[in-house]
Amino acid sequence: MRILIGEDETLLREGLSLVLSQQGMEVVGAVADADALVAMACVEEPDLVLTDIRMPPTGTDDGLRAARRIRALRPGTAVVVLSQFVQRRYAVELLADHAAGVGYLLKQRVLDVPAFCRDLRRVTHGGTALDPEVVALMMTRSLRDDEALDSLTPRRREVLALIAEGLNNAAIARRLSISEKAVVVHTSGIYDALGIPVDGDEHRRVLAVVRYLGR
Amino acid sequence: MPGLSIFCNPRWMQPTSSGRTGGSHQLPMALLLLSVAVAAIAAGEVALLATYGTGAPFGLLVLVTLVGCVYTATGILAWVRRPANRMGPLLCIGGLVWLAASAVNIAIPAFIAVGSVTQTLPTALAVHALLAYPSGRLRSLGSRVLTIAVYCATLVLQAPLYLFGASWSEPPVLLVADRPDLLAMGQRVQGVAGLVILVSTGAVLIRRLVASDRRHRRVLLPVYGCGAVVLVGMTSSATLARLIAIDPVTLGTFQLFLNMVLPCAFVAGLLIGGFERTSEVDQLGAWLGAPDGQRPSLRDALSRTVGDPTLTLGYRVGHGWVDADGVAIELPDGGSNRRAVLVELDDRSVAAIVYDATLIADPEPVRAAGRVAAIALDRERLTAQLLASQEELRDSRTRLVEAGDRERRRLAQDLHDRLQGRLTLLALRVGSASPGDDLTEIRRGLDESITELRWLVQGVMPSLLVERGLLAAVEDMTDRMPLRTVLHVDEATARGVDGREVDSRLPSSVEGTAYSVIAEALTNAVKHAGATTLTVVIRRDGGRLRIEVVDDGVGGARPSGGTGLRGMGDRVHALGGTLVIDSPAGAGTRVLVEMACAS
Repeated sequence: MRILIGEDETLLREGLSLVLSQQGMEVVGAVADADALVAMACVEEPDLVLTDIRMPPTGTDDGLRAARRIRALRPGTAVVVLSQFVQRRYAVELLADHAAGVGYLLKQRVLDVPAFCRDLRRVTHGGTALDPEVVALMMTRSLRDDEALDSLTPRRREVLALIAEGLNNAAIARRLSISEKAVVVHTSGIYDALGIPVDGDEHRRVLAVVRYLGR
Repeated sequence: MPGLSIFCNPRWMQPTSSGRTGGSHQLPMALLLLSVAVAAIAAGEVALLATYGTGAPFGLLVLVTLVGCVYTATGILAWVRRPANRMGPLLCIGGLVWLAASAVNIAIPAFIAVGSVTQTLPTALAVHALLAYPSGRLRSLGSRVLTIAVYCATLVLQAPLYLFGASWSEPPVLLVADRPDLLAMGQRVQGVAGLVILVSTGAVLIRRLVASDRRHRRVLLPVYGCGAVVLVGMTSSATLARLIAIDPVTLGTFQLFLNMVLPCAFVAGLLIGGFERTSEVDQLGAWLGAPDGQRPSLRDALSRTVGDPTLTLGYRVGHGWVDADGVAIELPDGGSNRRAVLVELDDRSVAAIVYDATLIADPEPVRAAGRVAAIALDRERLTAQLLASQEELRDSRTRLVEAGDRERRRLAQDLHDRLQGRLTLLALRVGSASPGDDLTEIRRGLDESITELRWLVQGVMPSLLVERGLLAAVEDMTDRMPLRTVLHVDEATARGVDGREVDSRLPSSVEGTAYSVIAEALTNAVKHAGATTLTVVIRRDGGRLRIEVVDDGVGGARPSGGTGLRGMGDRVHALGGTLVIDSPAGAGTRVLVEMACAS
């Protein structure tokens, strides 16, 4: 698993390289600005680009725009963007085209190294990883304005949030300590309530849920 | 009133080019004529008295005429020095009345007729003048009624005396029938009426003395005292003569001298007691033409012109009034003796002249002085406005600095309370851990600390405001509101927000201020308004950024209500923008902000 890192803070950049190498990943490069990140991605052709959102040269959302350009230039590349703070807008923008191979996480998730590496691997293999905090924010906002969502049982809301985070049925079952079969029952109930078309494809179901919550 | 028209003559109001500034008073032509005429009448009377004088000593008869002259002279003096005051004309009329009454002593039928009718009119005039003093106007209903009554008593009730009293005058020119019974009754009625009027007048004057302040009382007391002595003497000379066993000629002489003192007391009170020397409007014009460095203040010049040392000025700034130093003032509302005359220039009020209505009865001369000084007043108004805005600027700057300090203190407190302790504890635990220990708890503690720090940083500077600008940051803010919050943004502004048009970003000072204002308004709406739906509208219109924050709550928000709303206003004003809070009770609150955002 070949990883390219974009992070302008030297300590964090070196720390990430070290931790990920120790976890058996191959860090093919670690750069400090968005333009270098795009150039390096074209040269090194990594499996995953892991980047901070706020980066030079403008110090605004350069990392996010670099990630989207890399996806446009090399569609197979998985991207995970990190941020001090998560917002609905970025989640919706990142997942606008494909949910496959996209991650949006709080920077501090790095602290839980095993969980962080699990998320990176999932995204690299075409999965999705949305930070629980941004999912919670979108859920709260939707609950405020949307009666259909409000009608869901607390358990189903939990399941919905985990779907949005990018977990598959097996992972959801493990997390909630219920059977996979129960998860399937919950998900079809949720789809019915919200009017989301049932689809076996996990990427498409994440996309549908995030679109629903991000309206 | 003869000669009064002179003072309304616009030509006379114009500043003259001669630029007189000294104390020389040009006696208006009409007053000159009046004095000449009175002098001629008096001279004629004296000549007639010498030939046709009735039985009394010639010196005593001349004294009566002389009283008329003193009245006229003091009246003219008062009129010239205090054109706005009505005492001058009143005293001039008094002079004529005395001259008329004096005619009774000339043994020619026509003169006797005039004198008989006006015999007691001087008493009425003295009462009138006392009641009208110092402005020359009868200001209360009581004094008006008393004045009318005293004129009736001296003119109407006088009739029986010359109509029915054969022995009353010599020769009895106006006699209709010799009826001693009717004469006696008439005298009694007039006596009783006179007594009632005198006692009532005394009561009115005493009440006025009690109600006035010390400065006024010092002027009023001697004049009233003199008046009381004169009136008592005039109305009860016979009784007095009996009581103190004095020769009637001596008593009469003494009384006539007192009657000369009375008008002098009136005028002395006007000119010395509390009244400064009065200059004319043309001197005000000369003042206006003087070089800036050499003239006293406009207030002093106006004060001298209208003759009120307590005169003050107010300048129109915005919807209120300020004094010359820019400090907000209230104009008198009619509840006190202070009155205000508005000075207008080009159909707008620029200033107000506040004067003492007990000193100045007629606002017209004040108004005239204001018209002459209008341009100068407007210029002073600009200075006052500048001072007022400077004052406001200083206040708002102080508030901004205080708000900054408060914010820093709060941040320091939060960092200390929410992070320092937690991190210290974690450091202790790391220090006491041995190899192989489970560090999950410590990692969790660090995770929580980082979350705290993130929120603190977000509170100081929202990350989206830096990364994507105002609209994205406000959108994120509305996402996190506990109430339903609708955001309306115009198309042009919306295009700039998703990162495609970085150039359309607003200046960071405008973004920061706009964000803070919206955050404050939304927080207030959630906390205090009891609203169900909040609406934020952001529009860019040319070089202006317009923001509206509307709620459907209880309304009644006041800018002075707390530091929050006022702080918002200060920040917006600092950028040259405006903030309006429209919050009628029961109809929601609407905060409107407009700022220049040329980017």
